Amino acid sequence: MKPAPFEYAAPRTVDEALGALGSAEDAKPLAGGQSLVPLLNFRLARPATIVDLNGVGELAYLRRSGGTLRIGALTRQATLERSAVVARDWPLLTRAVAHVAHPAIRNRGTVGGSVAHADPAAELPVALAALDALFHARSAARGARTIAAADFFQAPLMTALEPDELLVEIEVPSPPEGARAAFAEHARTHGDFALAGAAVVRAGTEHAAIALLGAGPTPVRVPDAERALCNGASAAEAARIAGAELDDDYRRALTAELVRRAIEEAA
Amino acid sequence: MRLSRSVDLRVPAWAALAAGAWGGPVRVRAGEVEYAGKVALVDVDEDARVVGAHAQARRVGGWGGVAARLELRPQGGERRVEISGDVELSGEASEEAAEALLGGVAARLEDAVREPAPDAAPPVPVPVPRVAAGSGGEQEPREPTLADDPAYRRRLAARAAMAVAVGAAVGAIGAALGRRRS
Repeated sequence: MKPAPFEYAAPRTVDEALGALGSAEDAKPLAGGQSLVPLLNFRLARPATIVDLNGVGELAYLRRSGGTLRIGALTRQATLERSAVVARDWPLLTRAVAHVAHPAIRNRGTVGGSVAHADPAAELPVALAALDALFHARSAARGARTIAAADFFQAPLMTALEPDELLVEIEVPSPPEGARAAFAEHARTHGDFALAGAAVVRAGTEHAAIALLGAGPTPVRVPDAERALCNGASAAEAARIAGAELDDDYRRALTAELVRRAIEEAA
Repeated sequence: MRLSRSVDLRVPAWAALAAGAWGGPVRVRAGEVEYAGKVALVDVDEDARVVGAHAQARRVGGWGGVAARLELRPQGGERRVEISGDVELSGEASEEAAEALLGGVAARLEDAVREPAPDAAPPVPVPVPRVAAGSGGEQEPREPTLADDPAYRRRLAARAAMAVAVGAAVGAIGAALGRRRS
């Protein structure tokens, strides 16, 4: 099927993009197009205006500065996967992005697009939630604001971004000293949407972060399991606590097993 | 295979590297064999003053390729850059191709950071194109690709012309034979 008719804007700067988003009625930003274009083709999304961000080069960067990783919203997932800086200091992101679909999709798909799409089965939002990332948004009318991961993801395919707001940068703080990370997921076929998954960051008994994929409408942090892990609980016990809130027997067992594997890998 | 080489720039190295304007198509020759691909900035580590890049090229008219994960570091004097990285070969690509790719990256870096001529005109701001879907509006690509290489486009055009000529000749011969039979 072909998309419904829409106006098309191709800004070259962030300010132009914000202007286009703010002035048009029912405008939608287009980044890599790996989620939005299928929605347009199936006519599940019928925006009046598409603001194509692919010409906004200033949004495509991956920079470590002062120990913090700054990811421009238009950074391709393949770039994240290839980054030596990310692999060395934020290995959870490298491991998570390797599970995103297939190389062809990662070549085109963007980090900001995946985050703003907020699919509960997406890998990057879960990894960023486990890393306590901050999301920087800008709008022409309200200016800039920073949103914590816990507040950013609100429901399936819904975020805290306003219609005229654009996600411009993702800030990932440095993990605690000596932290190790692991990502585990289960999908019926390789590259398919995952049924369940877990991202774990662990630094001895000082710090533990566990985020679940496919366990709710948004990435789910499990503070009870994190506390148990810091208090010396075994991987199996913490995993049982993490999966306890899921209603479905199969998903509960699957999630608990994936959490256990991830905790043991990050030990 | 790990390779490295140095290149001297005419401008301060770190600012030039971090800007990333040196990314784009790469076309190199290893002996008689030509390789075409591109190099792209991956990450900028301001703390360690290292820039990461990814370069890859495929053999033109043959099987094989070369891909490299590179680190570019400014060195003594602030105008020298050391390019080093792990290079992977596939198919018929030779070690010579790996050296050539690194040379291509160095050449691209040198070309991209040349200081503009003093009388060069300032860039003209481009208005935001705004067109209706399906009206054929074009958007300039953010990153140059192989299709932007004039040599590559000339070669494609020559091949297309050759295909049309061969098709026309075969058609004419076929028609002539058909007339003789009838």
